[in-house]
Amino acid sequence: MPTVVMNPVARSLATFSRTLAPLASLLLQLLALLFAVATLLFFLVRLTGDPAVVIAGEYADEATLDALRAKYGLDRSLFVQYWTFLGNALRLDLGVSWVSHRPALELALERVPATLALAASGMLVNLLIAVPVGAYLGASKRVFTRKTLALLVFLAQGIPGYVVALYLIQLFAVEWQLLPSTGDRGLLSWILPSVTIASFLAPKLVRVIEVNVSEAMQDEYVTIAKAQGASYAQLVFRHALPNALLGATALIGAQLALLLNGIIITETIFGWPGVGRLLLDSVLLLDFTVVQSVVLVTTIFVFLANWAADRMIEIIDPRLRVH
Amino acid sequence: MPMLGAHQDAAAPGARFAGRLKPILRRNWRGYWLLAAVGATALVVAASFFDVGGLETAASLRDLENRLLPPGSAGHPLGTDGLGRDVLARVILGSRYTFGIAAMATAIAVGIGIPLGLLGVIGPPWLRVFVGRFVDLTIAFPSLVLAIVMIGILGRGSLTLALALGLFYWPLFARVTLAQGQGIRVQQYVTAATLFGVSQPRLILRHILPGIAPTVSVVIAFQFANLLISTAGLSFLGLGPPLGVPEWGAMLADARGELTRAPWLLAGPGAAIAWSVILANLIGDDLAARTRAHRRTTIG
Repeated sequence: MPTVVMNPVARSLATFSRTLAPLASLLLQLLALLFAVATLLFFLVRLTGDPAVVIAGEYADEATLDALRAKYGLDRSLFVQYWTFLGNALRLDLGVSWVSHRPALELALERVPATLALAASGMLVNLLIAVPVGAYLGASKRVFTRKTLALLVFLAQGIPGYVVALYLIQLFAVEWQLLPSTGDRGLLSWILPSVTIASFLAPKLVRVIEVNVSEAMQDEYVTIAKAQGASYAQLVFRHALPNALLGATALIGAQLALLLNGIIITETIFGWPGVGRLLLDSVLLLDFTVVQSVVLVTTIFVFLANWAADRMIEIIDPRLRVH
Repeated sequence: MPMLGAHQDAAAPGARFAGRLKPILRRNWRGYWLLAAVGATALVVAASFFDVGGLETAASLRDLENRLLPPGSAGHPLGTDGLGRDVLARVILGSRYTFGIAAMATAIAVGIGIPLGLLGVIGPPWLRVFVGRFVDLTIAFPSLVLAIVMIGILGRGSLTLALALGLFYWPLFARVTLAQGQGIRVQQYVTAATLFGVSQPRLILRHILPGIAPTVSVVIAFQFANLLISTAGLSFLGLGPPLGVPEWGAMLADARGELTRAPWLLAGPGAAIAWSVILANLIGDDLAARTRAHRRTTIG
């Protein structure tokens, strides 16, 4: 057996480049992103001039302001403040909420599960609607039904999530009183926010699946399967759809940004105890330490979700694997 | 020089403009409908900007005796809101704010993104690397979240909203300009122009910008639709123009308060937003179909 003797250093380097280097570069990217967002936030918050005035209100007297400045270190130079802010952030200390006096990062993190759960549930409803509709549009031969459905999907693409949400509340909560419209009160209260999220994600996904399915239906392997006697349903669901979904996975990364934007408004409308509502509440209360924490936490999640979406495509589609 | 077509074109700008419109009209009836819809919408928006027929007065006139009239009431085709103001007048006047803010935000985003992208295309090598990295970094920013933070800090207002959206939505334009521009910069005609000693500004204006314009215009149309949704959405959350201004999102927020008594109040502003977004999407689709710049398999 011909053994290639590698020296230990080279071997460990090789192992490093195979397994750890991608992870290290991922971490570096994330750190650079967080650093940039944190810097932007720091200077954004100080854009108004004096945060002490913001906390205490415009009519506070000079003594109160001085006390506040001393308490939060606002009396030091901007550079020193920035430096301490970054140092503290590295130690995961993002300060204390100016309103509730609890650690800001803790406040933000305890809202994460509710948002993630709602996002997952919305994504699930999105897939449950978009995959069958997209497959039907791409594969069906009934021209009239297909065209009508395609028109509806196109129109739905123009209706923002918050308009859908208001109509859902109007119908299901006010008119028929079937479903709760605020807060997280059992499974029933998940329906309306999840459908809202699906409503602004599904139309785009439908269009992509539609195009991919109709292209796949003309591919050679489908013709061959047809020649081997596969039924129409088998052609669509066993052969064309899996390949079409593969192409649609690339959209998931793009949908995540859309999901994040939409979920802020959705949470606010439905009084959902998630990160988006915390962001809005603390922005309106000018509770900037909490705002900073929420923004940094969402940045991490969106980054990781995008990364996961990329990896998922590679796992599903072996052709894209680089290494 | 009779053989240079470009000079003949320049001599007859009118003919050239008609030539550009032609492909839209020649295609099919859909082109006519789109043109008609765009024209009608432009008229409404113009009416709102020039306050035609006392729109502003009609939109702010309170008539507490005639509150929450249903659609089809005498003198109020779309009914009246909780303060007795005419809904139709408010929807029409609202286009000034929603369209205006979304257009301004798009202009700001384009104004930052495209020059920055061009800098990455024609700048010295180190600058190209820097711009590329910078765009990669900023495109991962949570734009809407940062826009909300900025409005929270500066206080609500039409200008703040446009500024906050524009300042955080430019990375896409920079990325498109970079990607398209870099493809064009290595074309032989650009090399030829450089060898002829064409100046940098002329190189950008005559050779690079026309090349990226088709793709960029598609992105502008779709991004305008996005920004319009965001404009009305943030204003729905109370981060838009001051109270009382008939911005469509703000009108939806008002309608939400009257949901039990007057559910029809949602229809006017809701339909107005949907109409505008659909129109912008149609324009984007049309531009994309004409330039084939649109990669259908990724983002619709």
